[in-house]
Amino acid sequence: MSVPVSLGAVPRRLGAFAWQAVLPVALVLGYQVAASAARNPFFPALPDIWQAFVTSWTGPGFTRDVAPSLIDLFAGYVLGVASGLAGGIVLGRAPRVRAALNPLVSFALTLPPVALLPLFLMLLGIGPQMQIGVIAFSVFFTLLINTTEGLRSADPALGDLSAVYRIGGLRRLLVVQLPAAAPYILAAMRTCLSTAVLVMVVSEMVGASQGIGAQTLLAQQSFAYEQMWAGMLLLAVLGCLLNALFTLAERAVLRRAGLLPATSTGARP
Amino acid sequence: MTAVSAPTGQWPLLRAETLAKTYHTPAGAHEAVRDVTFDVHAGEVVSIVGPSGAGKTTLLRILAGLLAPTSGRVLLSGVPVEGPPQGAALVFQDYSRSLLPWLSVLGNVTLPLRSARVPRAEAADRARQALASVGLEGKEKLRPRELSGGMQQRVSIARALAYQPRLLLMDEPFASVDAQTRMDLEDLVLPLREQYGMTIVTVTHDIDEAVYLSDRVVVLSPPPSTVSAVVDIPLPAPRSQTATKEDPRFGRLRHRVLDLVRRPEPAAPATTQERILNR
Ligand SMILES: Nc1ncnc2c1ncn2[C@@H]1O[C@H](COP(=O)(O)OP(=O)(O)OP(=O)(O)O)[C@@H](O)[C@H]1O
Ligand SMILES: [Mg+2]
Repeated sequence: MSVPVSLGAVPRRLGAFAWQAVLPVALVLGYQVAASAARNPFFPALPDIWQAFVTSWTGPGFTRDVAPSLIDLFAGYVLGVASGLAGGIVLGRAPRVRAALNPLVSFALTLPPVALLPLFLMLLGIGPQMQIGVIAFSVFFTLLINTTEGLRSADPALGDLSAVYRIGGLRRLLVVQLPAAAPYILAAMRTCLSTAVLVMVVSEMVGASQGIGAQTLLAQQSFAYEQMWAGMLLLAVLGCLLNALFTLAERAVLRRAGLLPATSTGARP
Repeated sequence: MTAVSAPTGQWPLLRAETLAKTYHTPAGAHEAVRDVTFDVHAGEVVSIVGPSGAGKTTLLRILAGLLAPTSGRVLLSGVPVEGPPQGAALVFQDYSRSLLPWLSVLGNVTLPLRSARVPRAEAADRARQALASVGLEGKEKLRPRELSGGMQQRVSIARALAYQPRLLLMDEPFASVDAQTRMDLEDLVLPLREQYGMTIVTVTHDIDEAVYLSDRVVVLSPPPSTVSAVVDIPLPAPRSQTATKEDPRFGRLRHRVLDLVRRPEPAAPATTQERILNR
């Protein structure tokens, strides 16, 4: 889709893009200069890190460590989003249930999921189910709260519209309420994506022998610093990539829904 | 559509009975409507006029069952209204907020029909016709946001028309359209009552429009509002923008309503209309 851009905007955009590219490159070069000057085993040279990256994370390394991590991440995230969305819909439509559960939800939201890792280890044991469980848990409450809030804070005019024209049930939920709450829900999904990566890594560090987190910690403990750096590099790349993919998907959804704020005109008197 | 369509005995289709509404806000109580009583008979067009802030929207929301009055009640064919009744449509004053930005124009108009289990093809048909009748042919696929304010307002009118309600409530429905379109829409609305047996209650600022459209005009006093007068408009049907508006009786009625809006009288004498006609 082509966006009309005024002439003055082109150099500005190029400038912004150049800056976005320059900064990481400068950081990498800076690291390389510092690392070769320091000759410290904690800071291996870039080619060595890259070598470790290729051997650890591609080929058999990919199937052994990267793929299970990604599968757990995906499963936990989807499970958490789906259950949080479902719970949020229930709470958003039932004020009584919401009021009754409110203290519990507020409490659960303040608990860092990582702090509950021992509990999850105990309940679910070691294995992917533990990782998936903690990731889903970390996503669940944020989705729950935001979905509820999105449904509750919808424009009352939409409630009037549904009442007068008797739009009810599933149609009201899908066509009127959820689209109105979409910005809240998408914001929660974005926040939760980075939380999910974090929780995945930490949960693998404490309760797994395979996976990106487990391998990275193992590398540090066995003084394989190139490999440790390769792990951190992979996590950084993964984080950026997921965020970029999410942004693309979000924009596509909002554009399809005609909700992109760029075209907003606001209410006319 | 049973609630509206079964007039029983001597009951008028719609009766507003000593309606009052006081809003309670953090800033204190605000009495918007003090005492409003009037009847609307089946097939009538009744306009409500009054100064800005007189509580016209409040009144219409009470009639639509969206707002509970502080006291008094609304009767539809003699049955007290407790929520939005079946077969009634409302054209909201705040039309842009009442259109769903994520649906196309056609989607917005068909939504109430689909909720009423009208089959998809028939709903689309009715929606297209209604859109064409308000001059929005070919705009079906656009989003409300891509239309001007006046066009959005017409979408919201088309949505109400396609719904084919027995009772059509409109809150300043022609406020944002140009004079020419406004006349077209006025002339569009009038035949509807014959076509669909619609009863229409409309709120307007425009005295000309009120007199032109209505069988009766309810004039509200400044807030807290009471009914200053109910003026009968015995102009012959069918009305026409040229002949009706040139009729000397039109001028006199218009003058009378204008006087009432500007300098409200405490109570409407029963002879209002005779006096005007015999002058
Ligand atoms: N939800 C509300 N809460 C508190 N006060 C309200 C509310 N809605 C309306 N009012 C007040 O009630 C009074 C009447 O408002 P209303 O919107 O019914 O007037 P109106 O006659 O429709 O005005 P306009 O011609 O400008 O549309 C106003 O003083 C308004 O501030
Ligand atoms: Mg109003």
